[in-house]
Amino acid sequence: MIALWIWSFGAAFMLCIALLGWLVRQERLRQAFVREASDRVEVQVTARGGVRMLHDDRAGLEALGPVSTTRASHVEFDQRRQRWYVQSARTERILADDFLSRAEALAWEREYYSPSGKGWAEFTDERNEG
Amino acid sequence: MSHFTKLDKANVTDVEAFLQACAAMGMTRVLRNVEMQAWAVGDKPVRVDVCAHFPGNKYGIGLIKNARGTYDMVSDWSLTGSYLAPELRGSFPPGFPGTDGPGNSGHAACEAFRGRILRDVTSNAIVRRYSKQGFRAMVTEDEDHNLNVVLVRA
Repeated sequence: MIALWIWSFGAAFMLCIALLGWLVRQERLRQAFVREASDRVEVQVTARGGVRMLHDDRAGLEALGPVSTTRASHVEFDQRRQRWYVQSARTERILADDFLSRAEALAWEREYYSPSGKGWAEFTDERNEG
Repeated sequence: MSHFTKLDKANVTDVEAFLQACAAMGMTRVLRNVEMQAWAVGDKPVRVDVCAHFPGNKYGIGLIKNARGTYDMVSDWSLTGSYLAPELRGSFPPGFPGTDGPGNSGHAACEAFRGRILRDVTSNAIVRRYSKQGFRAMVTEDEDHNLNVVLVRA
């Protein structure tokens, strides 16, 4: 009986350690994704010298010619769920929610509206399946 | 919380970016403030602020500063295009000088060449702007040779 108790306790302890390790790893992956996405900018230059991108002041496109800029999305906080979400400004559809931090939501949005992201088609003629 | 920005057609504003694009196409001989033969803008030579030639001949692309402070590109696009290396010509659509297909030296093919140069000049200008701010930036081309993507990392 005592051996069974010790075995059960040991198994539960090992399970907790494994779960904790998994949670730490997920958090590190999440932070790496946020860091990676916020450090990256993608600019598409078309066949006739047109430029399309999620706005970034540092690109200085205004120096190259007259630009047009439209709002892509809203990043808001859901009070009830205590989570951040991303909403398309054009369709008003909630694109993704459940973000613990605003930085994470912004990183996701940057990825979504990149040339290889699904949101690229909202502003261009192109369709991305990726 | 982001905005999407578009620019329909970039102006040439960065001479170094232009020279980089020309050098990548083999036009490595650079002359400044010279007369250049540019049949596309008339029979007489035109004075250009800077031009990039192929080393072995007089064909190339020139820049003339306009009233807006940007540059207009001038060239005999058809003849200049015909001196491009075959592997570069192959990346242009059929009809481009030296490629298979109808319409050699046609207007559409020349526009494709001009567009390609402008695309590369614009990409180089964006890369140079980011690089000056300490970012790592590089240009990649899509498989169909229609688009450039400038990738920037902090």
